[in-house]
Amino acid sequence: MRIGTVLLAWSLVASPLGNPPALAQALPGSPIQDLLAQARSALDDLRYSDADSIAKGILALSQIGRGDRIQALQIQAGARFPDQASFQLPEAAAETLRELIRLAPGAGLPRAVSWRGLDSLYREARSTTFGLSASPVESVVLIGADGEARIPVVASRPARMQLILIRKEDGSRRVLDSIPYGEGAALRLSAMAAGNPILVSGEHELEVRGTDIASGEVRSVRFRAVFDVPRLDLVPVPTTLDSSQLLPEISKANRTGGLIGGIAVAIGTVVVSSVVRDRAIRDGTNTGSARIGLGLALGGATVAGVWVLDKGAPIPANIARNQELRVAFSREVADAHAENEQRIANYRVIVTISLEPLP
Amino acid sequence: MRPVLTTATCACSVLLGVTGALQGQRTELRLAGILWPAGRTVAHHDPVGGTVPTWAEATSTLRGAELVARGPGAGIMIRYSDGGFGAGAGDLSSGNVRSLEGVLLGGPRQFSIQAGYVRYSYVGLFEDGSESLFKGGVQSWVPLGPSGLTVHFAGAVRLRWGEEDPSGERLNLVGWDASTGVLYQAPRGLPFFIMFGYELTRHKPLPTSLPEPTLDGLETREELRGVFVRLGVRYVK
Repeated sequence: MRIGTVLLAWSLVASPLGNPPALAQALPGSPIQDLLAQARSALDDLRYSDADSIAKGILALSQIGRGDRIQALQIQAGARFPDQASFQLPEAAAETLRELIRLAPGAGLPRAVSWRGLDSLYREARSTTFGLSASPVESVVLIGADGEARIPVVASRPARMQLILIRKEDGSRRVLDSIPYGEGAALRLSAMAAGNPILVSGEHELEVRGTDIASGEVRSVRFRAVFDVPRLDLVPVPTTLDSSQLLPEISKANRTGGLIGGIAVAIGTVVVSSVVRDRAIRDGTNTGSARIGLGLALGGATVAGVWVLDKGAPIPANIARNQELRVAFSREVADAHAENEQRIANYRVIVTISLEPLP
Repeated sequence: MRPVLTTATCACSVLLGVTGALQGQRTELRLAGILWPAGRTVAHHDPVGGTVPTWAEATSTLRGAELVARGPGAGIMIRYSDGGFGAGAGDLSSGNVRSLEGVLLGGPRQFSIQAGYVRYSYVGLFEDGSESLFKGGVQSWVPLGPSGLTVHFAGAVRLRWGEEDPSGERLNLVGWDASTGVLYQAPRGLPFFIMFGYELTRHKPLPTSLPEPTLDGLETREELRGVFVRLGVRYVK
């Protein structure tokens, strides 16, 4: 009767406000804490049925806090499987323990309710029940590219774990981190990936999702998270040097010079082999066509040689000028990277996570 | 006449040398072997017929070597060649020809003055002898851009000191040298080069007992001409 009165009173207080979560904080002296204290007292007085009833009443509340729910389940397990055999309800106790393990696989049983038989029953339930819990930090500041928050996760059995960001606006999901195998691990919440911000300001949900390796059973815990993400303005990094600024480093082939040189050689050869010769000897020999052919051959070879061999010459002044441009470009790129690294190093994202999981 | 020529040559050399230095001309060292398949023609009067000009021809390959060392505005060239013509032909073109030249160069490579000394020796059927000649002229080496090709032109007169003129001893113009050619050196720093060209030398040998000049003014004269090849090493810095 007394318990029912308290619960009724709590209901009457909570309903008009329409804000049951406020009561789930289980502050010292709160109605739920009072009920938990009464349940513990009943258990201590060996009034197992009363303790079970009070705990059951607490667990029936929809907006009860996670910590209070764990305590209520622990009390209920103790009340349903005391060391007095006549009061033991093994099936009911096992169900309570499975629920406790699903909710908090790392919580265990407090010394006040623990005894060898209940511990044995707990171990048996743990071996067949997949449970998952996460313990994020309420508020954290992520600084720079490597800034991250670690969210410890505990599973009752080996599991693949993921940290998923769910955007409240459109419900889109993004896997932020994953661990392929483990019973206890820390999932990482990072502000940046590959130098780019991946978080958006506003209210979101963080889901810790675990998949039992053995059975494939999936359990998830979701938390409300608020991100305060500043805008990251990076200096544009030039990607390519404007080729229009570069000067030609190789001169054009001097084919006109080659043509002039070839003609000069041809004429020179004909002149040397005819005009310069002794007149009497020249007139007495018949080499007219031969000397013209020789001149054409030497001149033609000169022209052809220039056309084939002249690939242009390096222009040292232009090469030096272009090198200066390339060095300046490299410096510009390096300066931009340095500035961006500085801005990224100063980049701060404030993450606030509700410790109470969403229902 | 000689002092005038010497003074003019020296003045031109100094002028061109200074110009070359101001233009940043580079130094050059060139050592080459010479292959000159030349034809040799000797024109003379038939010693029997008297006034009828005739000529004798023979071919051979002159072999020799050439060394050129020049700085920004001046340099030196030494060249030696010899060869035997018309072995067994038994005419005036037959015999051994040997030439040794030492020439000073002044001015940039593109256009330089050359002046020097030539020792020319001949051992033939009807005459033996050697003579000293002075040589003066110009030469030009013009590189054709980065192709590695350089064209070459040269011309010079051959002068001999003696009494070949009624006015007495003087320098007499007795012949000509002229050549054109193309030199190729790979532009990637390899020191080897090859050169093809055409060269002609002509001059009037010293008067000998056979044959004698005739009343129509035709004197004995000889000519060497042909395509030459030079192979060697060349450093230009």
